[in-house]
Amino acid sequence: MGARVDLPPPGDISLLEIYRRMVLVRALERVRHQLWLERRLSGELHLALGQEATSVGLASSLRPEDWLWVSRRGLALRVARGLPPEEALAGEAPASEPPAGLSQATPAGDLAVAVGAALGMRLREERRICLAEFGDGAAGEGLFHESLNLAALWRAPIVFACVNNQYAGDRPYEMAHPVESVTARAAAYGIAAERVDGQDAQAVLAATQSAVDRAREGAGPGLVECVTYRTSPHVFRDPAAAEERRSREEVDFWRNRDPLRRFRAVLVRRHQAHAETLDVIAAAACAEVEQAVRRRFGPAGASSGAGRALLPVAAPTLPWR
Amino acid sequence: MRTRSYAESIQQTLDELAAAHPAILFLHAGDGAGAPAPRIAPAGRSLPDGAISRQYHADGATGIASAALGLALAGWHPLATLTPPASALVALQHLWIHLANATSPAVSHAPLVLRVPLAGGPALGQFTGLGTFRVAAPYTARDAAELLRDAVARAVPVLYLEDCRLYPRSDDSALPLSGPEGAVIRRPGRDVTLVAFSAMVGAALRAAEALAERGIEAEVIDPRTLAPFDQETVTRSVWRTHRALVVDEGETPLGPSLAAGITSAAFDELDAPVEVVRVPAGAASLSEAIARGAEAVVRQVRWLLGEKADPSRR
Repeated sequence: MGARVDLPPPGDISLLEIYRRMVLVRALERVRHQLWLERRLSGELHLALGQEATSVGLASSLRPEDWLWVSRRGLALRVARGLPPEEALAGEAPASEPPAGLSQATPAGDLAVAVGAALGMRLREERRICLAEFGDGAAGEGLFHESLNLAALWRAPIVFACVNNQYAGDRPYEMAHPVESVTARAAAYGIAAERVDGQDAQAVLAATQSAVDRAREGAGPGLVECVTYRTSPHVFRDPAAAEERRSREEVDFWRNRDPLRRFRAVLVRRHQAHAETLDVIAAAACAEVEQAVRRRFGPAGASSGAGRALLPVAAPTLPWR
Repeated sequence: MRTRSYAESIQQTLDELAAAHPAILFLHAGDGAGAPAPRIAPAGRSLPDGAISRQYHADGATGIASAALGLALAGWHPLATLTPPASALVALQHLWIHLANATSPAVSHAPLVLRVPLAGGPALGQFTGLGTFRVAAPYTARDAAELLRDAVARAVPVLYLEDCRLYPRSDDSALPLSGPEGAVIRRPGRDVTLVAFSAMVGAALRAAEALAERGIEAEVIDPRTLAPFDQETVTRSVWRTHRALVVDEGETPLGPSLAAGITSAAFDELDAPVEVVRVPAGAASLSEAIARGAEAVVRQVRWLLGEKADPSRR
């Protein structure tokens, strides 16, 4: 594990920093896709494109000593928290951060491990917490329920962070869940839960921060459900196959609710940032990713597809998909 | 002088660990199956704020086993008792996925002990097929204590399989100290090597007595840990006896796997194929398990030595 990028303390994170992290994870996911198409990345690829507000909002409330547990789509959270992009391009499936270093065994498989780690932190009175990210599909698995049960029983300092992108694989949420929200399930365990617009980074950050603070103060576990949408297919397995199975209309609807463009528009409209400043930030974040590609794959790696993949992120005013 | 029973040995070791180990935590999943537990206060709703308990009870062996891994990663040394055995097996398979896919040595070297109280049966051998765990299966009361202490002393995941039918059993006071490593020859003999573990050691010893009356000297080896398996002690025994049987209670994958290992290690010295004695599972008491096991072993040994028809073709 290389040196971690210096991050501003939580609670102090600026709007511009939130924007920078969102651009960074968008750029990285686009580049990973491109590299995978060029067969420079192997294995299955699970991208979190379109989920940047959720990824950044969830990851930005943690202190360096906290532990983050991620799903196989959770690399963006680790990058948002400071994992250098070059390291993000190194492996196949993203693993939880060291010292855990678990690759997700089953969709809900890490949750109980995280609960145990959180109990361990509480017993040492360390005021550290665990944040465990998982998908909506995990809420149907037995271990999700065992984990919430144990966390509530032990008042473990853990935040269950559900990234509800409304699909488990290609199966829509309502097909597999008898209740409307994952939040509703937390009530059975007496766990405070909040459902937020996962396209709104500030809303995600605020809800997560309050759950994180409560857990840190000893008030027990919390659950945050971020309703979002991935604009890329569930998984990339075969470069030749078209793998999007959702309707074009639905994907377009959510592309029009793009969290990056939306956040950018809000900042500019509220005079919280100049468009030019945001462009500079975006260009710098893209340059960071491009440099990481170059370091990892040599000069040719960056010049081929990566630049093209980054262009719409670096110059977000251009029309793009 | 009466020595401590198997259950008392476990009880005393747990109490010692609770008193002296700075990082130990006790977790219990399920009803506990009457297994010994440390005599310290359990966590509960009545526990005041800020008080730290070393003992936690809940349902769901899979959640508890996973949480034990998390506690180990966070610097504790959890000892989780998983009941019933079927739930424990599901839990361990889940944990195995974590350990097998870990990208960090912190996971494969997580210091945790998973105690599974069982009564022989198919579950016992299933556990050993999982790999990645160190597996202890004590037969004597002395080993019950020694291997449990050893499990906690090791910085790796350890399965500790205790046979509940052995709880009341006390050791012969002449039993020598053997240390935590390697197999032990429970009875020397020159004609056939019997490899048996847990309660089946008793069956093999009973069979050896019966065979001795017929002039057949069986050597009984108790591997004590199934992983790692002390192949060397068994191979040296086969160099003397040239015949070996593995005693396995229930249809488990363990018997054939040990038999294949012995065949491979001692092939040139063997006068007969290494067979697995399949002792019917489901004996509720130790005496019944031993009687069943001894009968099956005697029958198989007599066939092996040409005294009797092939028992599988009767």
